[in-house]
Amino acid sequence: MSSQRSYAQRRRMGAIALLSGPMAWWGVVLLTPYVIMFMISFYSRQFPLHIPDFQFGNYGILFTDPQYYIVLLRSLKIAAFVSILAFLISYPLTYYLVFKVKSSRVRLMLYVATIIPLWVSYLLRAYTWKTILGSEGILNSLLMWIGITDEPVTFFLYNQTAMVITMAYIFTPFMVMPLFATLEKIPRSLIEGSKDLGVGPYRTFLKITLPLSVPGILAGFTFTFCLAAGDFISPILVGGPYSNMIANVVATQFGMAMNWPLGSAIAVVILIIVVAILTISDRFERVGRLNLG
Amino acid sequence: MGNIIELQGLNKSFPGGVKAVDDVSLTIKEGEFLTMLGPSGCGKTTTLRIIGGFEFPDSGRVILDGDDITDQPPYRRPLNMMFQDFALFPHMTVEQNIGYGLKLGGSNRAEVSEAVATSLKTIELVDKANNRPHELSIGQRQRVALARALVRRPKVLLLDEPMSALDAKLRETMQVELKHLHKKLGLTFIMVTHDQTESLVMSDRIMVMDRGRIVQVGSPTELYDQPSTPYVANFLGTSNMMLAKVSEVSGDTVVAQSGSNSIRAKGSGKNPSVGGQVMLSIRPEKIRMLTGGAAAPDGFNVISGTFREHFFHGGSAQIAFDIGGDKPFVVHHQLDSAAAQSQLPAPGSEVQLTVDPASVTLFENVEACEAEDRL
Repeated sequence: MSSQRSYAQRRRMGAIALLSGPMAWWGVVLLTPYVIMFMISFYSRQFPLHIPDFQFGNYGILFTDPQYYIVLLRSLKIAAFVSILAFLISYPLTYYLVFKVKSSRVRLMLYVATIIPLWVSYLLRAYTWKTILGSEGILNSLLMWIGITDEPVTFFLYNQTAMVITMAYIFTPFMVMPLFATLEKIPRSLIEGSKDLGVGPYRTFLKITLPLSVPGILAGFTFTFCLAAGDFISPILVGGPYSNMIANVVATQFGMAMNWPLGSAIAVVILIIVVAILTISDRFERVGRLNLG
Repeated sequence: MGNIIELQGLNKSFPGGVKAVDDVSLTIKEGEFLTMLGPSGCGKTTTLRIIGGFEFPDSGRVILDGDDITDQPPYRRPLNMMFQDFALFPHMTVEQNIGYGLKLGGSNRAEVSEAVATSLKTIELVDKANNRPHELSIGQRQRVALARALVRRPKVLLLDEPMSALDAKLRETMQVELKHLHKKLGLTFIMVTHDQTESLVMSDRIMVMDRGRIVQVGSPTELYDQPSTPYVANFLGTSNMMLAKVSEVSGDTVVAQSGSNSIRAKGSGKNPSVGGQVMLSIRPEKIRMLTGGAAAPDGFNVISGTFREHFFHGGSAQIAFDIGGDKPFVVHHQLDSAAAQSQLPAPGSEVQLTVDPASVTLFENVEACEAEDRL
């Protein structure tokens, strides 16, 4: 056999050399933690330690002890409200940007203005809502100045509504981005075509624009739902006594409670839920995906 | 036949001050095939979109069958448009696309399905009824778009560059099919195109536009043989243009000097003054080479030129001569015998060319000739 390597062999070795760095990073930083988390979720606990084991007790607690599954359900409920609120704000806004703003420069400026808060620290933005909704906050000052109330209203802050508002504000860009991309891709001739065939603007929206924007709606819901369901900061900053989210429980298990096996089991369940949502959304998106070409 | 559409003094400017449509007035007869022709940006598409209701004029009226529809939205106008990209709804089947307007227009289910079935039979796509548009070929998509535009029985069919998505072969086929369809339906067709051949093949009348204005309206033969400006002469087909000085006018014959050549134009209908500047236009296919010592027919112009080069076009050869001007003088020479190609003169040789004075077009307005330089 010739000692010279073929071009294909050399090319393959080059590719391996090039990819080894990123692959090592991926393995150490992403894959290994998943494996460790998965393993620990079956360990048993002997305070303050946990010992290697293979048992489903941690998962059992999760589904029998109300303090865990209620929090899980609450997280999903709040995530659903956040997604719906973000959608109700984003769709008309994006529709206006794409179809009503005539100048493409103004459109881009307004779009960037909507997205730009993403570059500002999440913590800072969540904190801002505390100052808006608080008893000395902007909203209360306004209401008192107008004369609607004499005393600060306390129910704005420290409850689930405050969390939904805060998160809807923070995650709105994640709804706007896919919607904008989808609406912009709809050829104007389709809307004109519908009107040409005798169909007015309202029904044209229902029959043409809305169905064609479904992929963007799905992507937006997936982003906002998953981000909100795993949120950890807004319950601390603007949530009240009954606003613990599942991510906070995980944090507690790894911190104060020193119960890593239970924390891992919860994390695995969250992971499964997120993967399930992504799969379903992808399935729907595939069905609804349209060849516009 | 009555008038179906009247355009009265249409004007339309776009932001930035571009005047897209400039004082366009035209009457279109019922059953006519009218083509709006011009380069991109000449205002033809905007004019069509004003008729369709997708643009609204700054001033002027659009009258359809006696009704003023200027301010009506597109969905209230009894006309339909076939879009350049066909605008088929990607999330609907072929059947749903064709039935869309009828169904939402309030026709009952039986009426819709009957009309759609008939329509599918006409375009021979019955087996594709449940396919989505992206599963069809371009030609099939075009037929669906056409069927969808016709199924509501519009008073006028608007066609926005209908052939631009098709390749050359399919384009020729569709031009003939569309022409046949027009004859069969007796419906008024208004088509926009920038393809001069297409307009010559298909239209009853052509409206040539330039920078928002109508330059000339007439039948294809009128426009080709009696172009009103050098712009029209150059846009429809090709033409040899040359500046000349009038040396003699007698009856309907004008003699003009262009370089060392003296050229006669007969029956131009123009009466320029002696000594004035004119522009002459001679179509390349109207010119003959005099080979083998043949004499020019009586009364014909004789122009001598130097053979420069030739381009083989299959059935004909395009030959460039030097007759003293700064541009080559182009002749279309029919290769109508087996030896025709080999009998072409050698480059550099002197050749006598002849052309009927009746085939020489004369333009008096030399200012308009400057427009020709933009082409």
